[in-house]
Amino acid sequence: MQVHGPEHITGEQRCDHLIIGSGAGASVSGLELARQGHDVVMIEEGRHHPTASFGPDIGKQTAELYRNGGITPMLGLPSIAFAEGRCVGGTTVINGGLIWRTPPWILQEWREKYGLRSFDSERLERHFISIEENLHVVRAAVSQNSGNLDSLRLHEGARELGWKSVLVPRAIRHCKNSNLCPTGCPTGAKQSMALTYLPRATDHGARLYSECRALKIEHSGSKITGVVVQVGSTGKRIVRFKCDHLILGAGAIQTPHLLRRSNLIPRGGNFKFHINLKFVAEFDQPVHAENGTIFTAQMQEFARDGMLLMASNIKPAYVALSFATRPASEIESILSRYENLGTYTAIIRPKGIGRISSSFGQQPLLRSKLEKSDDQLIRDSCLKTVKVLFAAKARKIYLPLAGTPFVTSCSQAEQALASARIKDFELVSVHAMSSLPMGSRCGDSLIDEKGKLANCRNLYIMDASILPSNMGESPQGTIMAFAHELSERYIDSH
Amino acid sequence: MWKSSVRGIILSQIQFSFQAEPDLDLERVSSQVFSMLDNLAWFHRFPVVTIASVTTIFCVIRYRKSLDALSQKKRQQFIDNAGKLPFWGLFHKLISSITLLHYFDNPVISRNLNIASPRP
Repeated sequence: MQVHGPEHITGEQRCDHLIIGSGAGASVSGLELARQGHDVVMIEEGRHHPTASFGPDIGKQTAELYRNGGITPMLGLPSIAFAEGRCVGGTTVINGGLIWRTPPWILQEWREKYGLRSFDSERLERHFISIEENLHVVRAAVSQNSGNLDSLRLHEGARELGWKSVLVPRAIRHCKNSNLCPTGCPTGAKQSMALTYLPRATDHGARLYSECRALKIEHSGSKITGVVVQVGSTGKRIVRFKCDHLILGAGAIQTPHLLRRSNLIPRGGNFKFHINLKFVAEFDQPVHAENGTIFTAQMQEFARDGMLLMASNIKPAYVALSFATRPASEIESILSRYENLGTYTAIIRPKGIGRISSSFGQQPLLRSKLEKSDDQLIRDSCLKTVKVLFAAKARKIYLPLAGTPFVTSCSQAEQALASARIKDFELVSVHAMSSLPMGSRCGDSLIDEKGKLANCRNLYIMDASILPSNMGESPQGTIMAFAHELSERYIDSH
Repeated sequence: MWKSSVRGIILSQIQFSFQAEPDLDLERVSSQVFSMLDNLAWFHRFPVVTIASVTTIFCVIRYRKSLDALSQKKRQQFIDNAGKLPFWGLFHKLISSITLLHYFDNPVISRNLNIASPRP
């Protein structure tokens, strides 16, 4: 794939269609437009990291591939650590590659509650078929010999309780179980946008520029005329990208931030997000979780209540991170039984919201405000997780609670959770969405069902921002399917 | 001044018996932690530097030494007590998280932990 670095940018650039971002939404639009012979330029803030540059250095890779080195706090009580990718391919380079079709009940909720009328399962079906084919989506094996014993334990625990557990559809090809999905797959097995849609887009003539941060959108009345871009890492080179049409695919945080900084939408704005709760379980028998890979099985019994559970990555650094508030001696004691440990991530769908403030310079300030029902949802989710992991024959479970020792029974967990304050929970979020929701009943929705921004003749949005609400599940498949549909509508009208 | 408190927290977090080379570990992890703090947006970096500076002042008043110059026992004692201060928990967690993330990025430490288990 040909990616143009900052050295290839000399003077003002010109194109018909400018796409900002290179993640799940932007890549789809880039490929669809380029395939139709349009003149397309894509700009990405982060660098291009080819597969060969990925190694086992988790800390170094995190610093390189994540925005702010992976430490973007969403301030609030409690504060939530937010993470998203900043590289060519966007967050698809550092996620688990989960490609779920949008559940029909979510689409129904979006239709009935948010007034999103023109997106239904039948319409999205062919897009999902195409995405699954393009990304080689498969459900990895979970068996005694597959190296995914931590997932197998979760499966068994769910079966024991009669709870629903399924294998996860993931964008992987010949996975070698490197167990490094969140820091860039070193074997190229994970089918990120950087390995799939983007190379095809550039093959069809799209020009992709890395290390280009969009600072401001220029407009004349309701017509977008171009984008002011900071080129390279020094911050000194400013270049104008002139365009006839602009498509934003910079994600649910950066897209509204850029629009606000350009005075195209009002200041202040909300977004929805998911919360991840991380548990470490110790089993009597070794599970060699490092020999498996991330997110191969998912407990879905409580999906509609807003809770899912999966076995997640294990590496000494990830385990240690779960215990960042504990003394070194305790971390050492836990890690001494590393082969018996599995880490599990519960994904929660809170009703609370995040807020994006764009008044403090180039970076947005994120805040979160959870609702009372979220407090209960978090505690209930912890209890359900503990229950299924004990049913899976875990001996000890470490809860995502600062200062709480391990629990060895459900009743101990109930006690610990009952006495915990909400600010004691250690919360992480990797999914932000719904910052500029589509749908006639989404308050004062600024986006129509073609992805077009109100009051702008030639600005479209095709990323997680437009989803009407958080969906409780990894959103990559939905973002891509929506981007496919919106790209078709866009092409039809251009 | 503020860096001595950050270094103190780093030191308290890497007191493992399976250290590779203690001095090099400290140097390697510290440079990574400070580099990540330098890259924070100003509205995140400012409170971090403020809390670290206040910590240093308290520590010097209490022990006449900065946090990184204290014995491990006294340092841990101070950190435990500081937990009662507002925002300290968030600050401590931030530094500890970055520290642990980078500390375990060393194959020698993985080997010392006997982690390289055979693949199936």
